[in-house]
Formats: sequence, structure tokens, C-alpha cells
Amino acid sequence: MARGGDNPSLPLDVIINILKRLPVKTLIRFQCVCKEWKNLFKTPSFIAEHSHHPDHQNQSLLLRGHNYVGHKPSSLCLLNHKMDTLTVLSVPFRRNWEIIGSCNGLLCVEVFRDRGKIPDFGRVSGSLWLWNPVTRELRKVPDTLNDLSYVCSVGFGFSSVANDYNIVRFYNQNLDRRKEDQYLRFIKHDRVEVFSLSTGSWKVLESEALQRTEVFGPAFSADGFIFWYGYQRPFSSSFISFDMAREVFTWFTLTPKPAERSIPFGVYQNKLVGHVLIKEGPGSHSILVFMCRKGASESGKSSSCTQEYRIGPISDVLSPVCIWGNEVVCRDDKEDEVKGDRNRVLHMFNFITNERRKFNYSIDRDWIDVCNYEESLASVWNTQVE
Amino acid sequence: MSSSVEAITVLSSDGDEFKITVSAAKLSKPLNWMLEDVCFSDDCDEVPTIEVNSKTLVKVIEYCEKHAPRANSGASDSDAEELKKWDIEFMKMDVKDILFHILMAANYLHMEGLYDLACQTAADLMKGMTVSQIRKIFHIKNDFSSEEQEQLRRQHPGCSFD
Repeated sequence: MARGGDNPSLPLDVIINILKRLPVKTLIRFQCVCKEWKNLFKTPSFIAEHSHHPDHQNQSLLLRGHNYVGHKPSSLCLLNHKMDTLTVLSVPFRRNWEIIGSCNGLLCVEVFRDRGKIPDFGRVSGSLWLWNPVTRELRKVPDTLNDLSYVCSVGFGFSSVANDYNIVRFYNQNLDRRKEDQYLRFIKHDRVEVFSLSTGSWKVLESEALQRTEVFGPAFSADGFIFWYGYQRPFSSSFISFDMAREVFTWFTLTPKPAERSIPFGVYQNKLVGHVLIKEGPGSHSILVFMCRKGASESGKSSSCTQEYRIGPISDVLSPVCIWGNEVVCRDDKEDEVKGDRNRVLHMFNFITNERRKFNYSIDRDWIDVCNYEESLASVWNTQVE
Repeated sequence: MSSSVEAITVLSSDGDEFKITVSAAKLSKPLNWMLEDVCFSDDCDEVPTIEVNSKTLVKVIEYCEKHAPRANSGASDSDAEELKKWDIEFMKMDVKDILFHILMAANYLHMEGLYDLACQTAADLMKGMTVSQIRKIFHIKNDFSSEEQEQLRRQHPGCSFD
């Protein structure tokens, strides 16, 4: 050990123990210290150690501002969990884009092929990208032979069991994405493909479970699964889950069936939850939060869905958009235009403590989408921990 | 008689003698082992040496004595709250002068609580430092070529090598 007043040179394991406590933003700055540190921040073991540190478990929110018409590409802001810092993130895409999924620090983004054009109904495929908006790493997901096919739905998720990120795409090979007249809501897929980040390639998935099922809408990811809304013939609404580690699809219904026809879903404590605003009387609304629990039921075809929390009464008509920690985040779609910027409000309702808080911000876009995000050093290239 | 011994004497790496109570020494595995192996009777003239300098050892013993009652018997929430405040005051020290020595000592003496506290203190201090300040305290040389610096700057426009 060094003697005297000069500071000793710390061994690498001590340095790592200090560095893993620093926020991603600071580590990005400290990449410039030396090559050893820059390379250290890219090693899977350090990335994992950093993301498991309790200081980095707080989720942020991503706010994507976009326009319905015109050529202005989407913008992206990061709101930290204390709601005291809103960081504008630099966006590498020149065309318009949207977020397919946000998982474990990475975003799966679809960039539209036609400048400024947003597909109306169903999903018309653009190019897919994996992006860590904080470290600014970007990777184009390779196109496949089916790239011109009609895409019914795309999902993105992370499995800690497989230690891998997956993108799952449902196609119809007989419909051409370039045709404009396909406004059908439910298009039967005839092919499913999965992309694995660790292998860097797509492969076709066969599944008996999906023979009579149609998928639609956005996907959600929780606990190593990707979930979709689906229709099981003869018509009954159901869910489809994809177990990323086992590569198995399962369809299930929710029992009892929630009274509301379409419930936006989110993730709470790594489990699928539903949240919906219901009208209870004139000028009085409540937000209901449902928890979905898989398993236990016979043959695994049914999943219990119980109403866990009721928030309200609320006088405003709000749109619940996601679950953030113990809060339901709601968009207030009323706007107040000042000098071209639109002042907007997000309302957060804590369903454990019943506390309510607000976040005011302004954005020069028509509309915002909100999704959860965990700031991390996660790499778009390699997720394998030794 | 070992049963009557309440404090042991240790030597710092500078050769100074320090007394540490038995209960406080229990916070460190190596010190605990010494309690078992070292003869404490009056005619035992061998004093164990701790490879930590005097300045640092004073602080380490201060920490041990403060935390020993809680570690040995458990404590109420208000004690825990008080101890947290004490830790914050205790850690108000110069990085260059002593914090890194405390880190090394806590690591060497297997003192989990102090090690964790010192790592967190170092991390909190580093958040506000520039890259060149970091290099200085960690004795690191900037080994990026100008091309590599340019490349990093393109990727992260705000980033600075100074």
C-alpha cells in the first residue's frame, strides 16, 4: 500500500465498484478519460453490473413528439424519474420514425421509407433499427426477403433467461405493402420471423398455436415475453404471448374478461397490466388498473385478470398511456398554443398512495407518444455476458 | 486473559501504535481473525501490524468504534438515521489526500459497510469533475490519438477530453 499523503493507484476492481454507481450520462463523458475506461464501459459484464446497481433501477420516460402531416421528423426527450430534468436527445434519423418497443435500455425503431409519410392502418413496413439513444449506438436490423410483404405487427423484447433481445414480425406474404387500398384491420399472417440481437439474423418461426389467430396492434414486453392483442377464431379476443427463451407462442384469454373492449396495456413490476379510463357519471371518471397473471389455470390457455386499483374520481378526460413505477401516466390532450410551441401536461396518478402530480412541458409537434425507458449502457451489438 | 481484554493494540504501516476495542475490530474480518490468533496476555509482546498508514487508520478506527454498537446489537430506526448523518459528515474528506486510502484500507480489511460508503462518496465527487481532473486523481494518461479523439467527438458532440 502506498504511504504518505499522495493518493494511491486503485486496483481495477475498486475502480469498477466506483464507476458502476455513476449515471450513464457521466460515464459517456468519462469515455474520454482513457482507452481502458472506454473499453470497460462496453464490456457486457460491466454493462450488466452497472444496470443492476440500485441507483440505476429508476425508469425514465421517453416523450416522442411527432407531426401527422408535413416533413418534420419526430423529436425525442428523456424525462428522469424525479421529473426535474427533461433532456432533448439527438435523433439520427432524417426520415420519420416511431418506436416499436423500448426494453432494457434499447429502442427498436421503425423508420418509414417515404419521407414524412405515416402508414394509416395496419403496418406498412419501414426499416428497423436498434438504438441506444443515450450512448448513441445504432444498428440497422438486416432486411429480409419478406421486406415488401405486409407486416401485421412487430414486437420487441428482452429475455434475461436467454440474455438476448428479440424482434418478432408477423407477415402476410400475399399482400404487398406498397398498395394503398389495404385498410383491413385484421389481416391473417402467414409467416412469423424472429430476429435475435446476439446472432444478428432472422429466422422463421413455426407455431401451431397461431394457426387460427390474428394479431394486431402494438406489442408489449414483460418478463421475457412479448404480448400481442389477437383474435382467435371463431371471433373472441385473446392475447398471444411469445416466450423468448423457449421460442414458444401461447394464446390465452383473460378471465374474467374486462368489460371494456379495448384496454391499453403496460408493464408493472415486470408483469402485464391493463389501464383504462372509464366514465362513471357526468364529469366523473376513474382509471382502473388490471393485473394479468399467467399460469395456474388449466392448459395455460387462460390468464387471470383482476382489477387491482381504482384511481379517481377524476373530472378531466385523460388518456392513460403507460405505467411508470407506481403511477399511471395520462396524457391531457387539450392544448394551449403559445408562439408555435404547444404547452402540454402529463398527469401521473400513483395507484398505491393516490397521490397525483403533473408535468408541464411544451413541444413544437402535434402529438406525443410516451413510453418507459431505462437508461443503460446496453449495446446494440452484443449482449452476451461471459 | 483474553476474556477480560476489551481493546487490542495494532501497529500502523508507519509504525505507530493504535488501540481498537474488540467489538469495533469485529467489523473487519482480518482484524477478527487476529483476535482469534493473536495472544492478548500481558506477556505477549508481539503487536500485529496493519498495512494501513497512520492517518488512514485513525479514520478507520473512528468508523469502527462508531458503527460497532449497531453492528453488534442491532439498532432502532432513529439510530440508523443518526448513523447515516454521521457517515455523511465522516466522509467529508479530500479525495486526493485520504478518500482513496480509506477505500484501499476498507477493501484490504474486508469492511463492506465502509467500502460501500467510500465508493459511493468517490462516485458522488466524480460526477462533478472534468475528464482531466479524473485523470489526475486516478493517475491516468490520455492515450487517445487525435484521430480517435475526433471520432469520439463526432459521436458525442458535447464530449470533452479536458
